[in-house]
Amino acid sequence: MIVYILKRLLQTIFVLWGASLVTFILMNVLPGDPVRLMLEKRATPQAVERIRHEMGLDKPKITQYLDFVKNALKLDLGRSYFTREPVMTALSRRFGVTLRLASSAYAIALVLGISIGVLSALQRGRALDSAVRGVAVLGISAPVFWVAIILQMVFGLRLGWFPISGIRSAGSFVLPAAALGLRHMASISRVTRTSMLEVISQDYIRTARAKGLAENAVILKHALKNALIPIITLAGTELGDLLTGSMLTEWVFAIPGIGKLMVDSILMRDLPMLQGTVLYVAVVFVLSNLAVDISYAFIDPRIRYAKSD
Amino acid sequence: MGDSGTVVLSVKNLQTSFPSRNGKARAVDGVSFDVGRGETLGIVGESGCGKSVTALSIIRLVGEPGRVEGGEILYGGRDLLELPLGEMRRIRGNKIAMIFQEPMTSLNPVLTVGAQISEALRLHEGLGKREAMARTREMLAMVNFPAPEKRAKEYPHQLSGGMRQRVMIAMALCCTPDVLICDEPTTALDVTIQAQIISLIEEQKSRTGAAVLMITHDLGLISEMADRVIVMYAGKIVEEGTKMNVLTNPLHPYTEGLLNAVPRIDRDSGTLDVIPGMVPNLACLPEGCAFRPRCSRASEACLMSPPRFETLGSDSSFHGVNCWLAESAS
Repeated sequence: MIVYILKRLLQTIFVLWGASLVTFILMNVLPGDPVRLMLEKRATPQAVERIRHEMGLDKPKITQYLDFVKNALKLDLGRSYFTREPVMTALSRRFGVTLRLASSAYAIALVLGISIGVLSALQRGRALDSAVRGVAVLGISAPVFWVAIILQMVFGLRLGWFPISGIRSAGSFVLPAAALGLRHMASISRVTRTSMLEVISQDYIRTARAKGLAENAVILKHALKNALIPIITLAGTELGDLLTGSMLTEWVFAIPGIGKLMVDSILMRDLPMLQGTVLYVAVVFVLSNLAVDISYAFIDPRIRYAKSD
Repeated sequence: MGDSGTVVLSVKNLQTSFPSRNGKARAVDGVSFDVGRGETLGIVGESGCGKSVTALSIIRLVGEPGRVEGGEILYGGRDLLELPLGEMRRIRGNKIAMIFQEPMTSLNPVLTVGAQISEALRLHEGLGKREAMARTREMLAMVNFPAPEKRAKEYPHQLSGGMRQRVMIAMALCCTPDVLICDEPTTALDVTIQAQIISLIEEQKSRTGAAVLMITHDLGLISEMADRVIVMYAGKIVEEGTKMNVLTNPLHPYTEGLLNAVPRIDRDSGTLDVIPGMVPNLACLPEGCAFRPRCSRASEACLMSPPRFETLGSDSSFHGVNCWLAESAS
């Protein structure tokens, strides 16, 4: 198991290196001169050259890339062209906000998604199942900004229960977390239902019942653990999605998270910031995939033993 | 009846059906039998004739949309069909245990063998975690597991088919049940392992005195293990009697057909005999006798109405058959 985790970590390093290379190439093939974008139009060619030299942009591309990697290893991703704030500082600050939003939305998605998915499977074909499936379809197909606006109108403006924008209090996270969580809950509940339906028809579930176990023990101990693999796969991807920020939700609720930072840096052509956020997205996805792979091995001994071979 | 003659389980006029597009499929239709302490009752028939549904009806585990619609299942003076679910759960795995056909899929792949056996002990015998695990190791040793301590920590995928079936046997016997239902326990195993499993079940039966309900389509297994035999066809009992009577003097053409289909080393026939046709759709049975379309000796009478169950012989050499031929002969 430890060997497996070490191997996966090693692969992760290669994936991150690849991601850094792709990010660097993409930033360099984008049209427009970053120095010209930074400076006013009337800047003299001498001033442009001086800034270019200061930023190391006059060096060969390979040297620039190696400098980028060397600095990235020291957690230095450069400074914003416009605010001069170090990219790492901006990312850390925004990450705190995104993490609060993501963890609330993720809790809603996991707890409700798995619970109603299980209930729906157990009530297959009955009214509850149909209702859950209807809500799931709505949750998946309704655009998140639309759900967000509806929530703002109902719970923010009409009922006045929660703030509709900003992050002034813990209550500010309720509506954006609900808007984001509903969407992810819908997909998790669908996968849970399908996976549970497959598992509860297995012979070992009949064996568990034949042992005299109560139905909740059969479901929680014998069925759910077997149904978890596809749920975890999806939950891992969704965690990555949430941690990299939901641009639309953050925009609608004016939350200064990673998603908004990324949109802002694209709009302002703030290349170091954009490079930093893209690299951050890659890191989050690579780590959440690693977490998913490790959880597979913890849940299913067949995977654990196959991996150790 | 069993050696002591004490009836442990009595099934009376059991009716289990499944709704289908063509109407109600009566998978078990009026099945009645008793099984005594220390006795092995064999239930034979082709696939789809209602053997397994009979077994699952006894422990009330018929899968939806199936339903036990009538009859009585008497155990310990009570009708199991009338018991509240909580009380039925106290009987399942404790007083009436079942070994299933497919050992490869009947064990939970994500739980250790030890956890799966010990949970029944903890549930029914109220043992603590440590005591239950100690008993589990004893049970594994009893079903001839080498290094039970190590094996208890293993997962089903680390065991062979025969070993998994031995785990199922240990699981079924750990609470010393009064009735052990074996649903084709050797079908999925190769021949040498089959012999080991059979002798293990025999050994455990004589140790605990449990009544055994052996469901199989293997007449060789029946001849080896059963005291009495029931032959089922299309959800009904078509022949019943002592092993000797049914296997050496079959009265129903279906039983005869099954016996003729068994390959025999002392008979030099080019091809095996087969019973022509298939088990009928239980939702639209043929008129009269359900076996009529496949029966080489069918007559006018077989078309008129279903035959009645005729009993011949005394208690000790009981023999009954559900066939117009036997009725006209008697």
